[in-house]
Amino acid sequence: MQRNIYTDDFERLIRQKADQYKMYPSDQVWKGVYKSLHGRKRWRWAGLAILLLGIGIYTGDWYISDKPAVKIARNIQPSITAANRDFSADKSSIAPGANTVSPSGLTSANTAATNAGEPNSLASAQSRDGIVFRNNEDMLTDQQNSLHPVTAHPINAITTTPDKGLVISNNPLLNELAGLDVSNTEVSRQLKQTAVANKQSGKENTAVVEQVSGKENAMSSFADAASESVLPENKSQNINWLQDYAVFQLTPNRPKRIGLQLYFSPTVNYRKLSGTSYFTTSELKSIPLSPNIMGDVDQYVKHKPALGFELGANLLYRTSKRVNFKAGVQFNYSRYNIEAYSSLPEIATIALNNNQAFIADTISSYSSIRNLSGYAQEDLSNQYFQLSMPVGLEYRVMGNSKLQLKVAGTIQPTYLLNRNSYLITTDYKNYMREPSLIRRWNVNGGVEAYVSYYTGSVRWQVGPQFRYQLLSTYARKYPIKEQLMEYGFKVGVSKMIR
Amino acid sequence: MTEEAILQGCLHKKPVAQRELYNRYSPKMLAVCYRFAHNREDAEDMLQEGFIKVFSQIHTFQNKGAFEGWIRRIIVHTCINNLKKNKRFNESVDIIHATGIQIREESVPSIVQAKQVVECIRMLPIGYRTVLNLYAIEGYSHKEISIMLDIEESTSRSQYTRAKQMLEEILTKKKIIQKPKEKEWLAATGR
Repeated sequence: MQRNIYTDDFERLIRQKADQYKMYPSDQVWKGVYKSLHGRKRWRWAGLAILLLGIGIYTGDWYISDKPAVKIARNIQPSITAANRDFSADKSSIAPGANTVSPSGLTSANTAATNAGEPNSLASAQSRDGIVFRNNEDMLTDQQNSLHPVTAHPINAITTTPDKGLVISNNPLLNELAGLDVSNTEVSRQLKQTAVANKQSGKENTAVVEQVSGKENAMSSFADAASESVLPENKSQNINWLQDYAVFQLTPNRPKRIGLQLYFSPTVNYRKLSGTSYFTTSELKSIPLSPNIMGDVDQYVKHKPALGFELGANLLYRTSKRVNFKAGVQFNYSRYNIEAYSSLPEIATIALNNNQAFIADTISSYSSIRNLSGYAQEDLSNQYFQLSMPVGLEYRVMGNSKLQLKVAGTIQPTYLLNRNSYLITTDYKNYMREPSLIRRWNVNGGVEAYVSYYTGSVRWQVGPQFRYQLLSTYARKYPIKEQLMEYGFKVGVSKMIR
Repeated sequence: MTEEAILQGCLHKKPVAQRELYNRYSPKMLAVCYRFAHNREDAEDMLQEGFIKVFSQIHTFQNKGAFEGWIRRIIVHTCINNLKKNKRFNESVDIIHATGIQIREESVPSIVQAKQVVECIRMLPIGYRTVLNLYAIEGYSHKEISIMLDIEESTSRSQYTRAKQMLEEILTKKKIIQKPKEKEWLAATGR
């Protein structure tokens, strides 16, 4: 670049005065620069945290919404499959529409009739005696896997009909559990007989009309068979069937060990400042012409508690009757307020710890916020968004199966999502923002006591909690230490899931 | 921190070093931006954009010249690019403004303040102001200015001459400088 030669006083004056002029940019400019340079990294972590939280919530939801009937079906599926092998041999001889019967005593409402071209043919079958016997939906279809009816429709075990009483699944186990004397095996056997009867009378599946008439025959046959099925000797056969194929296959009912816990806690947040004092090695003295302030920093700041909250999910593992181990994900929003004052922009300096030299490193910035005096009061709010992974134990102190008093403690590795809080300068004169002096990773400790109450399989809990930040909010080189504290009242719900 | 330490820290993308560099040079650079910009907000936007470029391009700095000069060049180019995005600037830089501007005479300040000079420069039409800033203050040649602003070299010269005349007039009316005749008369009378 070619520099000009200033030939006259005018140009020299302009240049000199323009070079002398300085302006102090607002905080927003540095925030914008910093965000542009380091913002992406933060969003990467936030994205990961959100992903993990999402997976946790999805997994929890999946476990909770897993219906008990499905689990029963899973357990008995091998036995049913074994039983179905018996059916499959004769299955081909069974006419598709033959099992759609409506006896006088019991009504079999087999929706599988849809496979035979008769949609809902007996879906509206009326029960005359108050009980509708509902056969397996896919029992007599062509595919062998249709003989897994309980797995496919386990929830339909027992339901009520609008007109009278019960709809009974042909799942023998469920029927047996419900105290009903109906056996799928027995029904199936009768259906097979019906099909044979239909075959003999030459009315099988040639036309819908023929099917209906065939069904009428089947109905009468089935009515007899069904009435037989409730006889004492048949009942014993049903139980034997259960013993052979189902009961022994069921796993013993073990107590559940793993649970999911969700909780929310409104909190009151505060902090404790410590560090530089007159009697300790003070970094203040490293700053030329800095005021010699005596006493602890806590005496020179005016801060007030503010409200925040805590939200989290834990996986519980029951290690014994009294002790649960827990681990999970937790989000904390903490804040507190600081009374400060507005002023004109001035240089604010933070002296840093330096063990290797007498003169400390310093960070200087321009601040328009003063701690002790100014032309107008300004309330600052320091906010912290934290993501934690609490790991800890719950201990049952006393109580019965319904109502219990418990205590719990956790250690919480914590990641701070934002670093834009205000720091006081080491001469206690100004507040400024310096993200590089805020620690990203920290450790918190939490203790709580609560009363828990069981309603069914769900446990509710309420009780006070206290959370304390074990490491300072600030980096080691910043001489002042800040410990955050949270007092809260936790409300939680938990459920043992497997 | 020394300039070398800041530079090394910035090369390693250390936030402390970046902040230190920003604190050290941002007041001067904001003043540079302010001379080019329409208002303070625009100047801060230019400064932010300029410093992002400084930090992202810092590996290209070779220790041949002054670090401040290198930063200043980036900031000035950022300002010019910002102005060139503005359609009004493109029109005004080629037009020679014949009409004068209204200047309110003020009482003479005892000490000539840098701020007053800068505010007087900012009173110039944007085309004049840009050429004057680049030539008289930033030290670019008319040839370099013509390339930067996409104008003829002769246009740059004429813009500068008129800008200088207008600024002299403003400064005189504001009684920040005195005309030569007045100077001689003041010297003769011993004032």
